[in-house]
Amino acid sequence: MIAPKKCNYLKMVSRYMDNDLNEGEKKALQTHLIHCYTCQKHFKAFLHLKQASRFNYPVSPYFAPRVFSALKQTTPPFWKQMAILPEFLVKSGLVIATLILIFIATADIFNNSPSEMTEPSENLILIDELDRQTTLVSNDQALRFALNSNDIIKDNPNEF
Amino acid sequence: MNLSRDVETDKLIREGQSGNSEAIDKLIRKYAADVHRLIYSIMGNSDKVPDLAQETFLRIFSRLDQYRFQSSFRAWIIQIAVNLCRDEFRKARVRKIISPLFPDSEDSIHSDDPGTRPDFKLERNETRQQIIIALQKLDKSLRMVFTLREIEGLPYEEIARILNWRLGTVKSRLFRARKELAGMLSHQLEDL
Ligand SMILES: [Zn+2]
Repeated sequence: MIAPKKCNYLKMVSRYMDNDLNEGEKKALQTHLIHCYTCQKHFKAFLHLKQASRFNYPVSPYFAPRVFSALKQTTPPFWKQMAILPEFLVKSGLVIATLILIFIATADIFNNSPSEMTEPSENLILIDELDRQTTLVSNDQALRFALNSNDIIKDNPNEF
Repeated sequence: MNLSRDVETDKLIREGQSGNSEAIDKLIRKYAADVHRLIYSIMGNSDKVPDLAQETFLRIFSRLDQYRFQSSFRAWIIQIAVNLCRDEFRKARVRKIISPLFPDSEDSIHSDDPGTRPDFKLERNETRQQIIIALQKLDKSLRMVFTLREIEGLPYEEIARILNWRLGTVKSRLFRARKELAGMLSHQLEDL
């Protein structure tokens, strides 16, 4: 019977079984094992446990064919069913869906903007004006950067 | 454990991903024993093993295209099997809770806690049989960590990933599992 005594090295004995100790730890454990009966007992038991735990499970020869027929019966996942449709149909469907979404989003803005503008306070107008200026400035800079040309900006100062 | 890629298996997986049934058959045969043994060790009930093993493979092949060749394929399979076992434990717990409400249901007649009804018809080796019986008496988390390490031979890192534990937790629970099993099996282990 394994003595229920405790020893600080026992966890190390367990890690030894998994080859998890560095050289220093291994040497320390080996020295300790010489005179610790509890660790000796556990060392043997853990090792035997390891050896006895490796076994082969006898699988039925019908297992693979059974999985195969079950595999054929399962319906393909959604995206695979989609793949049956011609690719252009799927793509054009996506484009139409995107256009509808954009339409809904912009329509929402149009609907909302007048109600927001009905009674603008002075502060709001100020902020609005400030916003417009910063937008103009930043767009101006973006355009300069993008086109690297001052002529276009001079020609179309109100384009944005 | 060798973590470098197994070229031959990778080839089979790629062929399997493009629907080659011969490759799929080879993959099933290659990992069937591992999956059966794992489920058997965790569930301790050989009646459920083939069904759960089949479900494991159905899940693997339904998402084979998601496999990116970055982790071990065997560890991926084991992960799926472990998740299925955890689902089974959860279902058994729910059945246990609701069975008093339906006294006529089958589950109230046959206790369906996978841990308490081991079936060892398959095991001829006395010590192994005792190990599987003792395993079922352990806490489920200790049973799983011992199975993954000693029965399936996975390294700490894979076990930590599969069970979603820290490395330190894997080491300390593995130690507890070994200690409890050694205590339960002291006579059998001394005879070896
Ligand atoms: Zn000691």
